[in-house]
Amino acid sequence: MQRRTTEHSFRPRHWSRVGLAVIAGSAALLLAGCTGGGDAGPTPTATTVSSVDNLTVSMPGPITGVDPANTILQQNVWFVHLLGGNLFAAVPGSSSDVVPALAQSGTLADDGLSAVVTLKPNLKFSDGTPLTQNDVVATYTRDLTGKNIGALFYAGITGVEASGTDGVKFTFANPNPNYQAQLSQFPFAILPADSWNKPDFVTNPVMAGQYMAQGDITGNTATLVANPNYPGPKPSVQKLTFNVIADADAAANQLVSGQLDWATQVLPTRVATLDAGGTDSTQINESWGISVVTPNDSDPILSDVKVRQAIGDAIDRTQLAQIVSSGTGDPQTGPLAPNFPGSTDAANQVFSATADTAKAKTELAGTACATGCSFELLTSTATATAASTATVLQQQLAAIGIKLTIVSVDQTTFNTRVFAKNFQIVLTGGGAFGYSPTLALMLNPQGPTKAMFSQWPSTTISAALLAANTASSADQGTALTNVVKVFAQDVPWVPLLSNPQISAVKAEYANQIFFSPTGVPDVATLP
Amino acid sequence: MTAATVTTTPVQRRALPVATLWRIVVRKLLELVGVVVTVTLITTVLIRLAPGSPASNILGDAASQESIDRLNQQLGLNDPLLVQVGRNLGQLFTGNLGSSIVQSRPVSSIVAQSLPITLTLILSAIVLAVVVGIPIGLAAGFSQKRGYDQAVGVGTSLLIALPPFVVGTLLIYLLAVNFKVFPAGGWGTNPVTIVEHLVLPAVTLAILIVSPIIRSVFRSTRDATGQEYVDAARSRGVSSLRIAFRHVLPVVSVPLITLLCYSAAILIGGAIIVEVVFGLPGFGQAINTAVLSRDYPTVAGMTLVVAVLVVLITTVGDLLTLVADPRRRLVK
Amino acid sequence: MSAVTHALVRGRSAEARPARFQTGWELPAGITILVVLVLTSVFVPVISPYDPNALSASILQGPSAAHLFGTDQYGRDLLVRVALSIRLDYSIAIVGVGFSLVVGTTLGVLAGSARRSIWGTLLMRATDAIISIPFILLVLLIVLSIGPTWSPLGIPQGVPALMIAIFLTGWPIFARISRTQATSVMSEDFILSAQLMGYSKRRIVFKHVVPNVSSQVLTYAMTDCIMIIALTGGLAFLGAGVLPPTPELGSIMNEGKSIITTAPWVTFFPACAILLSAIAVSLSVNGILNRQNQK
Repeated sequence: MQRRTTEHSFRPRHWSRVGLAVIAGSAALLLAGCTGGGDAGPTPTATTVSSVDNLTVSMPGPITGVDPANTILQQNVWFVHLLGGNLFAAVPGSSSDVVPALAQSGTLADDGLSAVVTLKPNLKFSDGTPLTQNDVVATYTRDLTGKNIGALFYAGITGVEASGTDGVKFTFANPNPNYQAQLSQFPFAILPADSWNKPDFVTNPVMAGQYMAQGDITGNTATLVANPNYPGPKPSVQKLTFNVIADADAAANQLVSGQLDWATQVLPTRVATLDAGGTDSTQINESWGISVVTPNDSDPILSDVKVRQAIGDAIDRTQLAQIVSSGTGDPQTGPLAPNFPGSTDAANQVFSATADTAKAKTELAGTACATGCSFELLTSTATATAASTATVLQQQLAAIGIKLTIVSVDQTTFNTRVFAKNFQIVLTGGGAFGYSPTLALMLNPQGPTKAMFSQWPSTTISAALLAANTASSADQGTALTNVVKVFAQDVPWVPLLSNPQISAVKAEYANQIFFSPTGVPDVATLP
Repeated sequence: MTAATVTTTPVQRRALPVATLWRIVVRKLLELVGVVVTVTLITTVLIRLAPGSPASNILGDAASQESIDRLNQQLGLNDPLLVQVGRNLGQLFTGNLGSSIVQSRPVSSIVAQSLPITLTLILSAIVLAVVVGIPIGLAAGFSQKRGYDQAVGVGTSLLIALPPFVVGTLLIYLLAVNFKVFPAGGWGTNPVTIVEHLVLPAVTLAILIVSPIIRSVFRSTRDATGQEYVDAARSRGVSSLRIAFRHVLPVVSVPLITLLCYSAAILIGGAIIVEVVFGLPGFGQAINTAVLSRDYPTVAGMTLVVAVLVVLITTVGDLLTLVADPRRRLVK
Repeated sequence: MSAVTHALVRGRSAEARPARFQTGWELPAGITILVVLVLTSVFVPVISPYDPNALSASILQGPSAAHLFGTDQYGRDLLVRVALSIRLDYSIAIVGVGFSLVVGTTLGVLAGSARRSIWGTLLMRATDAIISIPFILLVLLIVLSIGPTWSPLGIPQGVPALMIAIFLTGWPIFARISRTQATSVMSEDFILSAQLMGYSKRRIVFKHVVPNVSSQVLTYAMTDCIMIIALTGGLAFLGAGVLPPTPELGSIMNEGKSIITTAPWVTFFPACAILLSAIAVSLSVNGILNRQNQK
């Protein structure tokens, strides 16, 4: 069993690059309302893997679309990641390394405001048609000019144009030394120019990634096979069969009885039985994120910071961890996730692990909520632990007179309402808030999550984050403490638990297939 | 269907004229048209009642009002109710069930892919239930002992009251997770693996239908054994087994087949739960997914398919009753 | 569901039951079980020290003196929750089936005793369409339509959708049973003589048709209630039933599903409640039919 193999060694050198790698993932995962990975458990590069013919994997629902620019649902993001070819690709399982994929090389201008990426020669899409710089420019122009979801990930990129015969030139708003990590995110998958207008784009996508679709992928079973035209590192699994298994229990059962090689969603209550005895052929993989509730600060009552603080203080995180995560998660008392430097410092204890009902009641006195009030708590049915988390919160907040009505909706409705800020309190289950820039993303009023979370109009936080981002490694601790201080004053969201995304895999494939730090399935590559 | 529930005074038996039979078939088919119209009306109304605009539910995310309007237009949701119903019906008569807005494929392709699995499941469940139910019903009905009545009544009530998802879960834990005899779910790729995957779901679904079968056989047997010709056969020393096959089974079979035909709705409803429990990629799971993802055209199209199937099977039941029992022809 | 029970009832009613089964213990036994279940559901929550929704540190404890039925994964006392569930499930079934019974039977009797058969035909065609949509699917459609959280008058979330669905799928069956029964009663000789004697139609309907229809309809209603309770359990599994934290037998079993090997009592006790109810109703229905046949 591999548990809590978080990379605790903090590496300042990779600070921003890692962060960017996580940004995209976390935003997508937050949108997907799923439990996203912090740092992946296994480190597959350490062991050499051999080639495997076919692995069967569960997915929570059928594929509904694989347009990189408009993908939000969890399983769709997975597929875009596996099907899509990017200029650069993250090394599977690594939270820090990016290698050229379709790109031969990339050169950043001295001022950092532009970069030229040269393509590898003779690139081909999965259907054998040539992939040229025109396709790259067309794909990215569409996202830069359109109103697509993918545009969120393009923050800072201001232009894309052809350069020379086999190059693409990017221009940036600010110096962007980490553009390669940015370009490795799933919305940057390259498509044949104009292919997105074809009617069969969703069912028969042509991309240029590690895998290609075999037959129709929108049914209850979707099959991916290794793409022979992919010039990057070859995946060690030749064929991936995804079966729709909506019920997390059913997936765990099928893993045990042998129909599945990887159950991608496992309830915490099953961990003990799946992991028991050591003789079992299944292995639990966990990767870390934190779950939060976000009060809508444009709500007349919740705009009062005292009410948000009271909610944070009234929550008994120890009890929550015990009930919801069956001991697999830990109370999260501050904004810094466990893999942050300073996450265990006293400064990060914005709230206590157990409920402080008296303090919460004092805070509520004088607010519109002094004599009790009621809110809707929006949750997604796609998050396995949402129901239990909501049930516990409902009881805990009742102690300070806050009545929660749980509104459990499907993923699409959830996303719609979150984007439209059509909620009072929303529960998002453990997005990967990885390293500092991701935190910056959460807190920065200009960040891509702005649309979904409180548009926190704080200039102090912007300054604090900028300081944290540019601080020398010696000063980072202080700078982050400062961020936490601002967070504690404003409470834009309430941390609940640092709880893992749990999946279970047949032990022999544990190093072969796993969730990446950004919460997408990764397959170890052949040496 | 109504005919089957009527008891009238016996009249002289005679063969059913073919012309009469055809007239009944034609009338039933006309009734089917009525059902199709009504079901289309029901689904259209339910979808219109849905909170918010279906288009904004579907497009979700940061969809612009423009694209929402476009999809609403595309789905025809801006038109008056009757126009929508009319258009849906028009589509239907050209064999078009509409297109899924979530999966970007025609509903007919979803149906074609998933329906065979569900029909296989339902037929297997029926076979299992009949194979188990008939002997039990016959044995209990044949035995003249007191108390069998209550035993059958209570026993079958228990089976009806067992929720399929609990039965399914228990079977999975016992036979798939613990003893690994059968797969815990999913569907096979060749006949052998399909049978393996079919056993547990079919047993679960069969439990839903076995009670009515036992009851029906039990009642028919009790009735038949009270008849003079059975007594006569008994007094001639004909063995019980022979009596069962020669005299009782034919009497039992007609109400049984009718019952099975009338059980179409419950079997399809049960299949939804069983397929979700076992992760079968069938019709039930597909319609459940469509409901959860608010795929309105798919929900409407698949509901209509279910309704038509149920009515067709029920009609078969009605016709069988008519053919088998001429008394009923007099009604209406 | 509907068609089967429909056929069941038909099977029961159409055939004369052997006169030798005249034991009278079934009805009292059935009613006793029902009364015990109802009393439990009323008094346990009143005298119990546990709040049905309150969390506690004693998570997933097996049955003990402190918690007779054990506790669930939230540390809630299962005895109280099961007791409250029985109350809720019985209410849902009785209200839903009651409405269907009244509406369906009224329509059925009217159509069955009407002189012109056009009403009967229209009614039957309408019922054809509704019966052709399986109950579970119809509930899903209604939940999709009105939303699972719609809860007027403080009724627990999910309950209104369920009741509407039970009513919509229920009334056609009652209409069919009662129309059939009414039609056959109307063709009896004594009705003809009553008509010849100049009795008003209302008198004939209330004096002769309604009594003949009612026993049929009532026994079906009781069986239907059990079916409803069992099916509601399945709906919780599909996410369309009564929403948590409101205790409901199906949703408790659904919560117990993933821990059925480690904490079987969470599923066992609600399942027992359903099975006991089923036995009780089965005995009562048998008893009622027996008495009727003895008359």
